[in-house]
Amino acid sequence: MSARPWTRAGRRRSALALVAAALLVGGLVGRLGAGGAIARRGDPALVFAVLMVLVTVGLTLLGLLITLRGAFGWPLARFVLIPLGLGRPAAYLARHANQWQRDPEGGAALAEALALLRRPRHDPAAAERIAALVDSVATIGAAGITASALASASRGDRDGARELLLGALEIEGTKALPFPQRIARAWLIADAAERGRWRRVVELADARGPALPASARLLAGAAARFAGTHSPTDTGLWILWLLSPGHKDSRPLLERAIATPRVLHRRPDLEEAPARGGGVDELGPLPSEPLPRALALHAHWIARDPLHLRLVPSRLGDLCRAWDEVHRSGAARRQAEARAARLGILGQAEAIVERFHDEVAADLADLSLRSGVAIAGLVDPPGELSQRAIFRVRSQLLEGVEELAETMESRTVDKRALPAVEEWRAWSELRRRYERAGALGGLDLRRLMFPQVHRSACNFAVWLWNERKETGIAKPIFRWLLTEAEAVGDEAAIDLQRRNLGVKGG
Amino acid sequence: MTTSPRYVGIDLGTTNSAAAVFDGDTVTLVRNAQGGTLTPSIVRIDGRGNLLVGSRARRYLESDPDNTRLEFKRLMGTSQEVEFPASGQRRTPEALSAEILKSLRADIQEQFGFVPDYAVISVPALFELPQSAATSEAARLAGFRRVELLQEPIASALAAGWSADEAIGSWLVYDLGGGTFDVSLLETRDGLLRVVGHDGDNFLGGKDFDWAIVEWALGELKAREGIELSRANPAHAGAIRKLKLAAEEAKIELSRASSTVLAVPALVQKDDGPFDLDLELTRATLERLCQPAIERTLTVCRRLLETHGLAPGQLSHVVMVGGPSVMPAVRKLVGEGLACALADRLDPMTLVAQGAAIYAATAGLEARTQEIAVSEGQKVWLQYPAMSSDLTPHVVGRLVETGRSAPSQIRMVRADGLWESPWAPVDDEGAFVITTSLIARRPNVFKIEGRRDDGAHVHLAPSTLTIVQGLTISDPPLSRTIGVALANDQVRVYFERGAPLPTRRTFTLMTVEGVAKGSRESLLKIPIVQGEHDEAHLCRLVGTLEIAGEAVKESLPSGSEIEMTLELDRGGRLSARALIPAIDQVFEDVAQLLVPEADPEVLAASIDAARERIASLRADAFRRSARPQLDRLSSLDASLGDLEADIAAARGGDADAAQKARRALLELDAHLEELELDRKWPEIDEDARDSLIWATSWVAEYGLPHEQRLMSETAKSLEKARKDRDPVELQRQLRLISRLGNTASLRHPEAWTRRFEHAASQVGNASDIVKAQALVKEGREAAAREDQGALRSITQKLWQLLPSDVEKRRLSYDSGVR
Amino acid sequence: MAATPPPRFAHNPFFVLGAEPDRPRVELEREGQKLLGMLELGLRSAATYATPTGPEARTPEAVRAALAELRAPEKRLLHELWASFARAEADADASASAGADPFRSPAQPSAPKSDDDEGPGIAGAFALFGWRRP
Repeated sequence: MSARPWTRAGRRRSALALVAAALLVGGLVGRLGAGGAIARRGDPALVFAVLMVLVTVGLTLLGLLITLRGAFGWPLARFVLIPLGLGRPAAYLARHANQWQRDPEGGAALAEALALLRRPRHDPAAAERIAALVDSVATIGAAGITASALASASRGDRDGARELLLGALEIEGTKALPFPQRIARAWLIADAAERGRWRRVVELADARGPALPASARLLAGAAARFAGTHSPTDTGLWILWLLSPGHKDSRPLLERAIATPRVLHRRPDLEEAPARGGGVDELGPLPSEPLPRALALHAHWIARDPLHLRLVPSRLGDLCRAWDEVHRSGAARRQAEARAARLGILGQAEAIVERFHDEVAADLADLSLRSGVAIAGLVDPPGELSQRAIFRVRSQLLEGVEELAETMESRTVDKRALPAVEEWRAWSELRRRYERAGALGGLDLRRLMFPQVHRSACNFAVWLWNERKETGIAKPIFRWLLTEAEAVGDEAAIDLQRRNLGVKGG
Repeated sequence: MTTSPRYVGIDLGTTNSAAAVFDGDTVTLVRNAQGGTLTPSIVRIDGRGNLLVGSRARRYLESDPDNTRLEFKRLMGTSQEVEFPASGQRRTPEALSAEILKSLRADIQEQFGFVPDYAVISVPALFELPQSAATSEAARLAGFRRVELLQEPIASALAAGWSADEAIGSWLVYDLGGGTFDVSLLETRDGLLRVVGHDGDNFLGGKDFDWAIVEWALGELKAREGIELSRANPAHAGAIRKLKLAAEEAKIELSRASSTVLAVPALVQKDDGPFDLDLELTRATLERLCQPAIERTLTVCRRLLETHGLAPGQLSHVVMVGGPSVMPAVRKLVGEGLACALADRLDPMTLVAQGAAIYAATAGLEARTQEIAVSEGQKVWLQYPAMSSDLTPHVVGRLVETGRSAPSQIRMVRADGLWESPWAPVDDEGAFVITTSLIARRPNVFKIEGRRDDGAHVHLAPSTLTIVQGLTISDPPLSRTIGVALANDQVRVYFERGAPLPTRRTFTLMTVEGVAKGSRESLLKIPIVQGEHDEAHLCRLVGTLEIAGEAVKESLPSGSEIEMTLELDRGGRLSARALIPAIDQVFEDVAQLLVPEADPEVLAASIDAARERIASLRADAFRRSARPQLDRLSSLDASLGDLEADIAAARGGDADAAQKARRALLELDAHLEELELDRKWPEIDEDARDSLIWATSWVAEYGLPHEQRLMSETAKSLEKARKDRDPVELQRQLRLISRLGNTASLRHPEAWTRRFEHAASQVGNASDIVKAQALVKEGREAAAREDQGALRSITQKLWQLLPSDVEKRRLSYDSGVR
Repeated sequence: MAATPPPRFAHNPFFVLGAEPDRPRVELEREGQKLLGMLELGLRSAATYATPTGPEARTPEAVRAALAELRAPEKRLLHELWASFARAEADADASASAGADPFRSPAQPSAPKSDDDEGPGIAGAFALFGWRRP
C-alpha cells in the first residue's frame, strides 16, 4: 500500500534521490561546460581534476540543500505550504526539519493535518496518510495525537477530536513538544468559543503551556469579558485584535467584547444559576391533582432538546417531588385500577402501575444523566420514585465504567494491541466516563469504581510502558491514577503509582 | 370473469399442503387433479429429469425413495441441498417448495380460471427469519408476484373464529403438524381477534410419533429376531425409511381401528433370504409410545397459560389443528390435560389454508392483478379495509383531478338499497371521509356517487367497492424478538415479539474497535439475532452485517457512530442498513442469512459439555439439597437422550435431525445458564462474607480512621446487596472491601512475606516454572534477611508468571458494536 | 451503557391516533384505519399529530404500531397513564391559550442558546485560525 511514504525504506529512498539529483546536476554541468572540451583533448590528469571539482561542487550543493531543508523547511511548510493546503510537500519538509528531529513522523502527520484543515473539504486520502504516519511511529507523542485529532475534526467528529486534544496536552516525555500542544490548545479554545463556553476558554488560556497564537489570545481576552472574570481593558483588547491575523473576521468579536462591561473581580459562583427561560414559573397554572401535575412538568422537561438541556437542580427537584407525590398518594394506582376494571384486566393493574412507576424513574434517571444534575440531595428525603431514579443513575454510570474497564482488561490480558492513538482514545473514554460518574455520584461512587478502574488501567499502562514503549501515553495514566488514588484515599494505589512514576522517571 | 374478489391462502406444510380461495363470503378449498384437498409435500425427479409432485410423487416413496423427497420444509433456510441421484440433480429446499406451490397454483387455475399473483402463505409461528425468507423465495420461484407470510396459528384462529358464532373469551389453537408444534392463546372481543401469545416447539410433531413407533419396532425386531438396525448406520437408511412409512400408515390406521399390523415385506436381507416384518401394534401401545411427546406439548400449553395468568379450566375451548391432532390419543390427553372442550366441526387438515385465505382478504391482497376494466368517469383513489370487524368503518378517498368538473360532494349507497350515507364534502385537497354501515358477516357492496355544487351528478371511477364484515386481525405480528448483539453480550432490541409488520427502526451504535482502511484482518461484525433472551449468545444468529477494512472509504476510529437500521416487510424479510456518518458510507449486504450448519461432531461435543455441566450442577445442588434445581436438572438430563438419538440420526445423514439438535442445544444452554447463576449466588455470597470478615479484621487493626469509616459504610452496602440478591452490586462492594483489606494488610510488618509464601505455593501453575523456582529461591533469601523491599519486587515478578484469572468467553458472535 | 428511555409522549399511541384515552377499542381501530387510508392517499391533514412535546410526523408504521399496542389491554393501560396528560391540560384549562395544538406547552420555552449559561458562542472561531469548521 502506498499510504506509508514515511517509513524507514521511504526515507532511504528520498536520501538516494537527493544524492542522485546532485550527481546529475554535477554531470550535466560537466557535459555542457569544459568537461566536453577537455575530454576531447584527452588529458587524463586534467579530466580527473575537473571531475573532482564537479563532484565537490555537487556534494556541496547537496549538503547545502539538506542544511537548508533542515533549517528552513519547516518555516517554509508552516507559513507557505500549510496555508495553501499543500499537505504532502509540507509533510515532506516537516519530516526532515530540525525542529521535528525528536518526532519526525509526528511532525509530518501534523503538517499534513494542519494543511487538511485549510482545505475547503475533507480529503479521505489525506486522512489515510495521516493515519499511516501516526501508525508508523514507534512511540506516539503529542504531535501524533494532535494530528489524529485534527483529522477526526476534519471528518466532522468534533467530540472525538476534543477528547484526543485534551489528551495531547497531557502527554509527557521527550515527545511532549510545544508546537503540537500549542495547536491543540488553540483548537480547544476555538471549539469552546464557538460553543459559548467562555469560562472553559479562559481556563484553557490560563493553563500552563507554550505560548498561544495571537488569535487564541484575542479569544481568551474576549472570553474573559463574557465570563465576567478578570479581563483586559478596552485598549488591551484593541491591541490583541491588532496583533491577530484576519482583522475582518475578528472585528465582530472585538466589538462584542468591548460592548461587554469589564469585571475587575471574579464573580463568585452562584449556588444555582438564576432561572432563565423555561422555568416552572413559565409553565402557567399547573394542575393541582398529583398525576396531571407531574405529567405536565414531565412533558415540559422531556420536550427540551437534549443537546441544549439545561435543567437547573431546583427544577429537577420539583419534578422528582411531583412524582414522589404521585407514588405516595397512590394517584396512578387509583386511576389504573378504575380503568383496568373497565378493560377487564383488574388483576394486572398493580403490575402495570409498577411498570409505569419504573418508566417514570427511568425518565428521571435519563434527565439527570443528560443534564448532569444529581438527584441525590435535591429531594430530602427522597421518595420512592426519586430513590429508584437515583439507583438507576448509579447503576448506569457504574455499568458504563465497568464495561470499558473490563474491555481494557481483557485486551491487556490477551495482548490485543491497537494503534497508539486508539489506545489513547480507549483510555480517554474510560477516564471521561469515570469522571462523569464521579461528578454525578460523588466521592462514594468514585471509591466504589476506583478499585476496578485502577486495576484495569494500571495493567494497561504497564503493558503500554514495558512492552510497547508508549511512555508518552502511559505516564499520564499513572499520573491520573495517582491523583485519583489520593482523592479516594487508596493507600496501596498511592504507593504503587508513586513508584510507577518514580521508577519510571517521574 | 367474476367481479367478486378472490383471496388465495396456502398452507405449505411439512407433510401436506393445501390451498383455499375466499370470495368475501365463503371459503372454498382447492382440489388437485386427484380430487383431494391435500397435496402431499413430496417431489420426485426421475432419471430422465421428469418432475412429479404430490400424490403422483408419493407413489414412488417406497420403490424409489432416493429420488422421491419429502419433509424438505424442515431444511428451509439452511444451505443444505437435496439430491436426486438418478438424474444427478440437486435442488434447494426453496426450489422444491416452489414446485409444490406451482402445483397448487395450477390447481387454482384449473378450478377457478385465474392464475393467482398474490397470496398469503402460512409458516410455523416459530419460524426464524432465514426460514421465512426462504419461504418468500420459494413463492417467488413459483411465480407469485407478491406474498405475505402468516403464522399458522393465526391462520387457524382466523378460520376458527370466522366459522364460530360470536365466540367470546380466551381460547387455544393446538397445532400439531408433521414436524412442528405451535400453541396460541387467543382472545375474541368486540369482533376483534387478538393473539395474546404463543409458544411452541419448532421440532416436535407427528414425525416424532412415527419415530417412536420405529424405535419400538427396532427394539421388537432385535428382541424377537436378533436383527439389529440403527438410525445411525447409513447402510440401514433404506430399511429405516420403509419402516417409517409403515409406521406412519399404522398410526393413521389406529385412528380408526384398535389394532393394526406393521407390515414391511423384504425389510432386510437375512442369510436365509429376505425378511418380512409383521408386527402387531395396538392403540394402547401407540398411546404409550406417544405419551411422552404429547406430554411435552401439554407442558408447552400450560407454560403459555401460566405466562398469561390463566389456568387450564378458564379456556372456552381448544381448536385442534394438524394431521396428528386427529389421533384419538392426542385428543383424549389434550382434553383431559387442559380441562376443556375441543372444538369440533373444523377440518384440522385444511383450517390453516382457509385462515390464510381469509387473512388475504383482511390484508386486501386480491389474488388477481390483471387490470379490471375501469369504467369511464372522474377517477378517485379509495382507501378502505377490504375486511373489517367494525360495523361502521371509514372509507377515505381522494379525487385524482380537481377542477370545475370535479364533484364537491360524495356519498355511498349500499347495494341492497337499505342504507346511504349523507353527502360528504370534498375538501381542498380533493379528499373526503365517509362512515359506512355494514351488514354482519357478509360482503357489502357500495355504490359511490358524486355531485357538483350545481347539483349535477358526476360519474366516478371506480363506481363500486366491496367491504367484507367479519372477524379481523390487521397486521401479522412478529413471532420472535429481533435485535443486534452487542460486544458486551447484551442485545439491543429492535423489534419486540408481537410488533406489527412491516416495521423499521434505527439505533445509533458505537464501534468497539477501529476499522483500518484496506486491512484484511480488520472486520467489524454487526450480528443480528432473534430470540427472547437478554444475553446475545443465547439468541439465534440470523444474519451478520459486515464492515470490512477493504470496503471502508476511510479508517474508522473506535467509538465511531453507526446508524443501524433494521427493516422487516410484511413477509418477514429482513433488510439491514448501516450508515456511518463520519465517512458518509452505507453498508447494506447482510451476510449469512441462513440457519447455521449443524455438524454432528460439533453437536456431539456440545452434548458432552452439557452433560458435564449438568453433572457438576447436580453435584452442587445435591450438596445444597436444592430440590427445585435437582428436578430441573433431571428433566434436562432426560432430554439429552432425545438429543443423542437426533445426533445419531444426523450422523446417518438426517440433516433435519441435526437442525433439531442444534436448536435444542441452544435451549439447553439457556436453561443451564440460569441454573448456573442460581448456583453461583451462594458462592458469591460466601465469598462476600469471608472477605468481609477478613477485611474487617485487617482494617480494624491497621486501617487509617477514614478507611475504617469507609469500611463500615461499605459493609452496610454489602449487606444490602446480599439482602437484595444483587450479584453485580455485591461484586462491586466486594472489590472495594478487598481493596481496603489489602491496603490495611500491607501495613503489617510481614505482609510481603505472607504474600510471597502464597505466590510460592502456586509455583506449579506458573507459565515459566524454572524462572518461577529461581524467584522463589531468591525470595526465600530475601525473607531470611528480612528485606521487605526485595521481597515485594520478587513477589510481583512471581505474580506475572502465574496464570491470570481473567477469562473472557467470546460469546456475542464476535460483535464489534456496543 | 443502558439505552435512553423511549420517548413517552412522542410515540404514545393515543397521540399517534389523535384519540382520547377512554375511547372504546372499536373506535380506536376505526380511527387507525382511517388514518392509514389518509396517509396512503398522502393527505396533509393526517401528516402530523400533536403531542405534549410538540408535533410529530405521522407514518403508517407508527399508526400500525399504535393500533397493535392498544389491542393488548395491559399495554393500553400503561399508555393511558402516560396520556392522562391530555386530561391534565384540560383540567388546568391551559389549552385555550395554545391554539389548535392542544398539547403545546403553555409557554414553549424559547430555543435555548447553548449548553452553558454563559451566553452565545461565536460562529467563526475556527476561521480565526484559518481552519475549516468541523
